[in-house]
Amino acid sequence: MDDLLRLLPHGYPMRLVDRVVSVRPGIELEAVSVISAREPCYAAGIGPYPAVLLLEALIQTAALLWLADLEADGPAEVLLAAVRGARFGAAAQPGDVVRHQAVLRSATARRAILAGRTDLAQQRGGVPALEVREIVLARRAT
Amino acid sequence: MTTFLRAVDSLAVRDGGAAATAVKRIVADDPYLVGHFPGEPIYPGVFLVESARQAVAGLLGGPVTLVAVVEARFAAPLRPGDVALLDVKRVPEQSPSPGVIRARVVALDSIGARVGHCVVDVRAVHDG
Repeated sequence: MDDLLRLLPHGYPMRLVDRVVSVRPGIELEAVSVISAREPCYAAGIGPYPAVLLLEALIQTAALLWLADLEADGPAEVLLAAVRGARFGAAAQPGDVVRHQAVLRSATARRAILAGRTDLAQQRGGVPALEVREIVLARRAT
Repeated sequence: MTTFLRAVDSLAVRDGGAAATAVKRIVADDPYLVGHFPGEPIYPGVFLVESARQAVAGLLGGPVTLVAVVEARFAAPLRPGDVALLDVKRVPEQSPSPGVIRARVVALDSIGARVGHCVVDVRAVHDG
């Protein structure tokens, strides 16, 4: 299943998804990220994980679900077109494992709308860190 | 409060504190750009949201934490060398909940074309 990660066009250190846990193509995908104190965002000091990087990790999870469904045979160029209704909850900290879940709402060959959520691991109460009503992704015209 | 990204280079408050204009010059040295994407750096859409958050902090005069992204739309990619001009306004007529401030941020490129916009909810952070 980790073969799916190669579909992401993102490279180090922007590849923020570490492992795909489960996938039901065209329906939903679960993945995890390990928040590390060695990430560039902590170059100046340790603290809560930046909200927008947590959002980016969930967006990458959503992109994986769409790309898996498209049966792309390599990295595909996907850009973020829009985000609607993103609400942040508990802050993730270095050492946390967070679990992302993306659900496909609708898709065409060029555009997809997904919903998603990110929760802290069970050891941290499994509490919500982020919920997003709509992530809109677009494939770049080539 | 440290930030991981210099997402606003300069900011000027105007209209008696109701609005501000911020500038962000995209540089290849911005963190994470080497991986977004390898060989073709593009300022990530979520970083434009971070620019918006930092611009709202500048408008309000203190650090803020992101509570919600009501909406964010990205119309065109920003690359190293590009300049984003952010117009920030409070949306006082919509108060999401006590202590939460809503702001609207429109981002233009150097020739005035819209590259994106977002509506964010933030909460002031009181350090210490």
